[in-house]
Amino acid sequence: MIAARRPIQRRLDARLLVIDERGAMTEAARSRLADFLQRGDLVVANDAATLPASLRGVHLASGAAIEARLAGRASLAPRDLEFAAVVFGAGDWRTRTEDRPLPPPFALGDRVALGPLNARIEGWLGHRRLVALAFEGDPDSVWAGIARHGRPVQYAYVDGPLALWDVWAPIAALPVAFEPPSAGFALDWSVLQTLRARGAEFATITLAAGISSTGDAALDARLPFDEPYRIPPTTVAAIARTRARGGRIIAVGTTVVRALEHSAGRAGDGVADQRLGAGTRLCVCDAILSGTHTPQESHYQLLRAFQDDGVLARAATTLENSGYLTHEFGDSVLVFARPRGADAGDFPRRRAFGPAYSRSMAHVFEPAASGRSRCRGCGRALARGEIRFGERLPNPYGEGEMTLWFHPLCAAYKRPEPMLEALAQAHGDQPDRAALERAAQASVANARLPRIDGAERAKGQANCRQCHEPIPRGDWRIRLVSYDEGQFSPLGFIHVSCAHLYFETTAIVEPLMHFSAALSDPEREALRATIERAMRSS
Amino acid sequence: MNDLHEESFPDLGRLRVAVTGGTSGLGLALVREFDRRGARVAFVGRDAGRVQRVARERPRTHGIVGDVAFKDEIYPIALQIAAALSGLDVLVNNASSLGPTPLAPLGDTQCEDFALALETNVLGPFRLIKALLGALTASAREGRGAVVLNVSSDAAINAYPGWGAYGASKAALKHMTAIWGEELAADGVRFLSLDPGDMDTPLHALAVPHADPATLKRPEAAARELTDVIAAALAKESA
Repeated sequence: MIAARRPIQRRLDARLLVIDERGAMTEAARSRLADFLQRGDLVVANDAATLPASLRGVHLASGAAIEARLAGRASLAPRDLEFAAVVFGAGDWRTRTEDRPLPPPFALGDRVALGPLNARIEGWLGHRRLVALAFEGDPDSVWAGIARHGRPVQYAYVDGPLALWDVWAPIAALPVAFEPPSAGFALDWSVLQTLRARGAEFATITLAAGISSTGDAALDARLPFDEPYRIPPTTVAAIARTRARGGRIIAVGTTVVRALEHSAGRAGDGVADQRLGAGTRLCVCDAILSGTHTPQESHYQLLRAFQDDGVLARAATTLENSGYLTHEFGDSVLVFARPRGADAGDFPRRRAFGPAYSRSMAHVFEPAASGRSRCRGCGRALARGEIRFGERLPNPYGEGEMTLWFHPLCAAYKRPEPMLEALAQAHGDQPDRAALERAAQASVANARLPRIDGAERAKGQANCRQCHEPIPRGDWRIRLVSYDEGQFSPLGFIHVSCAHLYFETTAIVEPLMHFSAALSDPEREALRATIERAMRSS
Repeated sequence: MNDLHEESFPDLGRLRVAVTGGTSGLGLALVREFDRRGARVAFVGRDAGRVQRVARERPRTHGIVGDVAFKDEIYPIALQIAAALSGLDVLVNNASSLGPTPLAPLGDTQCEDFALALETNVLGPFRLIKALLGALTASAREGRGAVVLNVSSDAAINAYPGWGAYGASKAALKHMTAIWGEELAADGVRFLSLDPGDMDTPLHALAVPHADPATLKRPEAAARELTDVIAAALAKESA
């Protein structure tokens, strides 16, 4: 396909290739998008606004010119000023990324000056070009520096430098994306009006869309990076309404598919870390509106979750032969998912968008009735009469609802959202309210903290999830778990020394010690000393 | 302000408010009023020193240096507002330019002065609203409500000799506000155009240097009134 070289979000002649459920194709003007929707459908877009994420500056130790492209962040919080960044040597976007020189060799703690901004190299993220960059200064001055000094990340195929108005879609709201979620370029206020006139609803999520290409094969193979997202409760409610009336969920862009499928229907903040492809079973999305992609691009893989390879191959031929334009200012495809046939029968759609959000399902604090129940968070017994926390959720495997019991502090660390909901509803005399709130808020602010399951001496030969190196037998390792629909599952281990990179915070001592209660006292002391040493040297 | 008054008005604790021209006159009074009532406030001012002073006086607020009259500054301003507040519920376009000072009849008004009045009073608010429309409509969709207040003037309606550039630009702003309101009603964004009255502010002093301050309204009083109107509009929206 031909690259769209001019930065016009909505060319009057923009085209749309529609692939229906059965793989039949229709070509149309993109302005006719609403014609392909039905009354009761829901269109969900990513309203992340794009940061001017390309920052030119100097590596102070060597004096060498660099360009840092901010590429990822652990959360959407304005106070979170640590970014993953791809660093290039001298030059700018006019040179193809593939041809850009490496940055000068960095040492940990090196400082870089990026216009008015100062930042420290906090760590390597497994590649010579990819570093953790922490900005110095208060958040307002850092955002001011980025806003004034930064330029949108762009590529050599676009004519002329991009301005922020070129990359903010009309619906752009929260400035957290590193590259534009460009499928949303197809939508403007007139198009939204035509959707409404058609009887379709519109809702948004926010996902900090990461960088789409670095020009480095090893790095590109790791894309997409983890992306923090936020799903408003009103969007979850709109999805539930749509489901209830038999409408379809149309995701605008790969980022929306990633967020909705990762969240499995829960409102709130999360970090999408999954890859979507041919093997993905879509639980939420029925269609995707996307830019055009060639089979070589990672975004193309995601389309395979919607349609068979044969259909996509025919679509690729049509796009090529009919001269569709590609990249962020190009044309679009609207791909409806193939019917979920017989093979989908044993994978019923999750019911997470159903009654999970009705107010009747209040979480509870109550004294444990017997001494027999175990805490889901730490596995230890809940003593009789001890106040326990019950998280209520719909039974994912059948009718009705279920309750997961926790020690309150275990829930605050591992299930911070329901804990905060419960505290908001509970009366003021909740014991340890302040400690529970503090722990839960830390876990909400830092999406990986709830994964902490304690520390132990390494037994087998597991590799560290952060640096991918083996963890030697006998060394301390941090146990990780992930939560999904009432279940905690093992997620592997990391070195204690990798904790600050993995969690992107040093505030891990309390939860780590909390979930390591099974250790003997001398071992706990040894563990604490090891963590504190690791945090100091980070 | 007296405490009795404070008690009688609702807490605006979750509200995210941006005010342009927030370092003097009505804008500063609005920043203080919203901050006092618990809202989260970002304000924009042209002068870095004044922005810093206000931010220091009101440590919970976010000061942003920028001039809404310049196209190139709009997106950096919008970015900082949305980043500082994680979204936006209320935008107050308060920054104003008189055009020529001292005031002059249209026949003696330089084109450049007229253009600056239009850039500041019409195009600036237009651009800033456009750049923040995504944030405002998101807030409306999330049930928080969204309000844009464009500060107007009786010069938008009455033909006062000497107020040509200002009056014409404020008339355009008032009409633009009404059209925005029609177009975005379905998206849940309320557009208000309010005339705070003649106030004892630096802008008024520039226009009418020898006015007796005793005859003018205190900007603090106007700020209280405008804040009440916004709070009422939001209550209506989210109801």
